[in-house]
Amino acid sequence: MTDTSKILSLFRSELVVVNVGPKSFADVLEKQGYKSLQVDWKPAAGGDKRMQELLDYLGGY
Amino acid sequence: MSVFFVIQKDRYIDSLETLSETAMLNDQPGIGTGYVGMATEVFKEVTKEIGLSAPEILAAADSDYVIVAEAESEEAFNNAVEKLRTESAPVDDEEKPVSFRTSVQAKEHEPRANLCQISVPGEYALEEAKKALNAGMHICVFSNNVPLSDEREMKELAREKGLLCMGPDCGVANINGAALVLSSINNRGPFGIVGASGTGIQHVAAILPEAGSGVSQTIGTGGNDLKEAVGGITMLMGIDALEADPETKYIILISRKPADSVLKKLLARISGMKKPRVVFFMGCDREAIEATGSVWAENLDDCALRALELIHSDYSLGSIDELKETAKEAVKGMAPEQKYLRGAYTGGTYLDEAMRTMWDAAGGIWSNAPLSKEWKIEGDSREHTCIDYGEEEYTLGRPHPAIDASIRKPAILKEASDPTVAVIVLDVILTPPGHPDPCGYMVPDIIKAQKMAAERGGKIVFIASVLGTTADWQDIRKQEQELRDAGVIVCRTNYRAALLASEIVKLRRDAQ
Amino acid sequence: MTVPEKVAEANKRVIDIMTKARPVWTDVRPAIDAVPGMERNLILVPGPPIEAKELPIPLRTAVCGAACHDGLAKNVDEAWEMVLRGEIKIAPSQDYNCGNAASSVMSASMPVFVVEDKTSGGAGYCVPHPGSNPRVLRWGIYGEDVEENLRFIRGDYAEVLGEAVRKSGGIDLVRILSKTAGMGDENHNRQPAASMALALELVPYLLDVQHPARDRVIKEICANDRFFLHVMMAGVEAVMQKAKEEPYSTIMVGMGGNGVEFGIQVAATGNKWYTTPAPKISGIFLKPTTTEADLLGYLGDSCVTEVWGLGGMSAIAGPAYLRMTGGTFRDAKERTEKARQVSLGEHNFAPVPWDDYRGFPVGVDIRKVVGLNILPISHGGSALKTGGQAGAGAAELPMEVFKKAVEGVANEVKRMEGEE
Repeated sequence: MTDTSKILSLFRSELVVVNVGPKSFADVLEKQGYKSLQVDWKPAAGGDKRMQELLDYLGGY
Repeated sequence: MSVFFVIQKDRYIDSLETLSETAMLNDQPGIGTGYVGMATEVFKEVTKEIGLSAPEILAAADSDYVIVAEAESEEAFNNAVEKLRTESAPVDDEEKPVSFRTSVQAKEHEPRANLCQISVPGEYALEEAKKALNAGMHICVFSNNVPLSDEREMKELAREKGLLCMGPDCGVANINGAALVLSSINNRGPFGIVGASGTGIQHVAAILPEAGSGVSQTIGTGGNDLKEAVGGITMLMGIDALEADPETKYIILISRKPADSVLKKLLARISGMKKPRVVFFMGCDREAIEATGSVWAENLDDCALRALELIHSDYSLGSIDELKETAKEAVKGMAPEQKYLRGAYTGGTYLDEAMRTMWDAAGGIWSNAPLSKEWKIEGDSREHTCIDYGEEEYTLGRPHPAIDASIRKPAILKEASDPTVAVIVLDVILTPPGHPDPCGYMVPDIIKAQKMAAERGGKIVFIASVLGTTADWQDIRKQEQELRDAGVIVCRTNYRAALLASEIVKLRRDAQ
Repeated sequence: MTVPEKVAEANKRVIDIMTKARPVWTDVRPAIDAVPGMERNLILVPGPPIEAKELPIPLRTAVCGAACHDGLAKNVDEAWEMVLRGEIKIAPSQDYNCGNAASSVMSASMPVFVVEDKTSGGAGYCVPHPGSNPRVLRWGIYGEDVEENLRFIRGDYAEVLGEAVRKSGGIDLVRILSKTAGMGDENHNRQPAASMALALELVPYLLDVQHPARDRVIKEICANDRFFLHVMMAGVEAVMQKAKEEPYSTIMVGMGGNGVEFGIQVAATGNKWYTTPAPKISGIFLKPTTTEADLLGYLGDSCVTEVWGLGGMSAIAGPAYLRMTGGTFRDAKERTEKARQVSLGEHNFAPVPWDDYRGFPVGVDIRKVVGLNILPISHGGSALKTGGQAGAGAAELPMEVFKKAVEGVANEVKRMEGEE
């Protein structure tokens, strides 16, 4: 069985959402009255796959 | 007209934003066709197709932002670009909200942050999920096309940390009353839902308030959770959480057919549950479900009604006879050659449900996501056809059609231009980030289609169902009324819309 | 240990070197005596390696001027021939723990500030800042007047200053930066406070020097509000000497431009350069008739200060510089925030009052620059293609050099691991 304490704590807390993706998803949460924090996500290394591999090799960023 | 473009290196803008910018660009004076986007492979293909390509665009990288357009003059193009820049630029006032580069930074800034909503391209979802989970946040992953091994990895990490991992490909989740991703806005109430189908969850959650009830929490597991490779991790955690949650009095479980090994685990788990529950696992054996002490449901409508029975509600969606009467009225005035049905769906679950419902009446239905593979088509509709506009071929590099209503828009006139078509079925899904007036948006094309048919001496019947609530900003009642005013037959649910279409197909077949 | 663990450890050591450094200015001596590896016919130039024939006009002028100044050639034409023939060699200053600001070059006879990092034991060198006169070798201008000034600096100026510095027992540059915290310097393109604080420490010792040119030297130093920059550059080079000896570290330890190319150095690969065509400085021009077309690409090593967390990295400490170059207070804040997001350390010696008393970010991790796709912004003066200062402003450091650096460091680490 799952330890549900963290999930139940989520259900009992004020929802505060970190939004990694289109800002419109954060905007509509704000409009519904929930607090949100917007992350301006960009693909790692500008989407450069070779760089992503090398960065992984060197321990990430 | 000549083609002009600007490329801004390393300016990442999501397709949601570039979409509205493309629209704005095309409205500018002196601009023919214009297109704004990140220089992805898809973008490059599209620019080639519409004759807006250039070597520089082809050489640009995924993270480069491109504005390209056919314009009367360079000046017209520059003015248009300037307009995009000024109108879409953030206001630089003192209230400018802080934004962050990573979810970890956001969590450090606001330690109360407890849920991370992730909608990045699928290949990056695992990395973002791990960051959020390691920072102690529950996650709701909207990203699709996430490899199953990545899904398993993030869910195992979530389980180890006791955190909820909704999705990947989680379209619907309603936590503490908040409509996340593409959920409708729901009433709060005693029903907790865990589902592997976003539309399925939303469908049931939207019927509950019609009978004065509502949901405590809805947990979307993502469509792959009950596959062998993932093992139902989220479904099982969700069940445990709802079973322990004092606000949840009843539990509803929804899924397409789980993998056998997963089903076994689930049945074992639900056998031991204490709270009353309704289970709709599409295509699963009734006895097996009932043997667990759960209420078995036949379909999504039935699932909602069975749930309402638990609170002694006698809410009804209407009878089959009513639909038969409606069908008889509807076919009056059709031309002899009109006999086929066409469905244009934005929800995959709805497409599936509709095709199963209409299959026998139609004697088989072609689709880009068919029930069996010999009925697979690519490209134009033929005979009886239902298209899922949420499939990758329509959405790769674009938002879901529930957000971007323009993806499905061409279907209406395209299907109506075929004189053998008798009935066109549409689904509409309401959600906060969606189109502010999705039905009103379709009405002009529907009216035009009806005129086309009338000019041919026939009549096209439009059938639609709207998924949403009166709490949704678009308001389900207002949306339904807009369609009715345009002569569309609005059914209470997708299933009933499909039943009605089946009746019409049968009547037309008998009339041949 | 795994590679990521080794990288993390090495980075921690480099951050320790950078944040615990105590660069102390100890002496002024001729380059040939002070700088290890310096040679009579060698002239050190700013930025990454460059072929002599590729030298842009201002650097070519400076190199030839320095050759004449050192008596290597009779005139600039002869000097240029000798440079092209390789009889006069050129090399990147930073490979010798030296820095040359803007179009400055360093020849054997030139006096250099000697700064030693008392914590790590490294030493760095830089020629003195020549003052506010626009006609200087530092901006690629050479002539009789320039030569005369160079001789004064090599002679009386170096003698007086050297004696005073030695008498002082060494001037701690971290103490200067601490004293001037909150005085509005970002310490790369703006350092009046630090220059004054330095003069304050130095003048009593200068007054003890018995030399006929003493008063002239005091006047020169007290009138030069950029005096501190070149001392600080030597100081940063002193700190970086040991940082360059940390294989596995992904922290940037050098950067500079020669007008044609811009490059960076990374701890793991020491003096190896990762280069790309030099970006231009955007900002203001001294003359309204100057246009961007007149600008040379990024020129000079003074940005080594940025490597140690000064300049654009701590732009918030000197918001007036942004005001001057067309930015806002918020831009200053954003520049520093960008640097924070890609840096692994923070200096604690100079908290900025209007930035919640936070310190300067230091130690740019190339992995973060590439991974997060955040380009740090360096301040800088801009040079005219024909010589002379064009203006001042800032430039985003080009992504290309960071990607090349990631590639280079990964290769080096693979070599260390015996994987190649």
